[in-house]
Amino acid sequence: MSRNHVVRAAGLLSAAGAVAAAVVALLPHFIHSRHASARTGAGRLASAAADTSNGSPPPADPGTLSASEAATLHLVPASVHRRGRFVASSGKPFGVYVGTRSDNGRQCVMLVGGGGMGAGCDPTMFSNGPVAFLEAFSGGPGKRKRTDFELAGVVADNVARLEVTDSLGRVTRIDTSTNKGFFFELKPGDLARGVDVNTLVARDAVGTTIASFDASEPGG
Amino acid sequence: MKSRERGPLSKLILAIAAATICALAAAMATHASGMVCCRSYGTFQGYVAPTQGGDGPYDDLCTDAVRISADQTPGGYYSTVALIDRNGSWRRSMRSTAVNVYAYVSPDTEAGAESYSKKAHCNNSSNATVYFITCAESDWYLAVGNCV
Repeated sequence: MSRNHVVRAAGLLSAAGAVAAAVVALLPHFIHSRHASARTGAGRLASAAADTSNGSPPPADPGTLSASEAATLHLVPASVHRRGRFVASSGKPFGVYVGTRSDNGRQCVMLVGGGGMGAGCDPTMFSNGPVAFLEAFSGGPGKRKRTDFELAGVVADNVARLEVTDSLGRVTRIDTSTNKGFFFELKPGDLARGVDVNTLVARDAVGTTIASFDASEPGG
Repeated sequence: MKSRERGPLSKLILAIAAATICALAAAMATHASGMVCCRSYGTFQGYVAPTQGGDGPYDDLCTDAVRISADQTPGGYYSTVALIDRNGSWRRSMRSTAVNVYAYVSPDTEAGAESYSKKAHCNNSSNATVYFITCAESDWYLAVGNCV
């Protein structure tokens, strides 16, 4: 191999080395950027759905249905209405929403907050009676391991109030006259004792029982 | 006159350099156009008695958002959907008598939701009724390149 060949090879090796060094140097940036992007992935979904002008993800607003959450259920935007905003004893905000799916026409009640969004969808809002509701909880599966428990939903127009009876026989009255949305939670001390909700009773304005729901759950 | 023909070593080095530059350029291009992808799959379906259910597989930590759905037939009985972490703890669960029950968790709703491995779980949480359930999971993730 001539001296020129050696010099040229050395030059090419240096160039390749520089490229390799650049790749090594930039790799953490790409990995970090990808991870950072991944963290805002849902925000990107929200951004795309909300068509924000600057392309940056909107700030998360706990207790408020985001565009990505509405999109994942294929909700008709005009059908989405908030029926109540509530603050739990922990200080966490929750929102109760209703909406109609665009793909199958089912009507959904949604609870947003507490680390997630839950929904129950039926052919009509009150397919199972004059109360459409969801139970949401974190922790478990054992009831004593739950760290929070919410029962929320909407009631039909003829329901004026609800009565929630827990597994200790205590009754909590909930006024549903405003926006027909409601929210109930079990307190941390009760959760630690494994207290659960037993029944949910809907009454009209004069106190007549309209419907009663067995909300008890099998297992401990 | 000196020959301008490159030797085998030079060609190899040139090829490596070119491939590296192309790979870097491709990585930059795909990074710039990272795609939010969704993959959906059924986790299980069948008749389930009270307290019975099933799980999907754990995700690969690349998931930004997860939606778990349980469809029951005929409807009107309680079903529960849950997001379970590697320690077996139920992170967030929903229970309802609706035909379709959903739980959706994303970094928007739970900080760090993308940072732990998780799986979907659905079960019959009614007291005394056997029914048919279809449990499914949808994952959203940011892909460098095409969705798979």
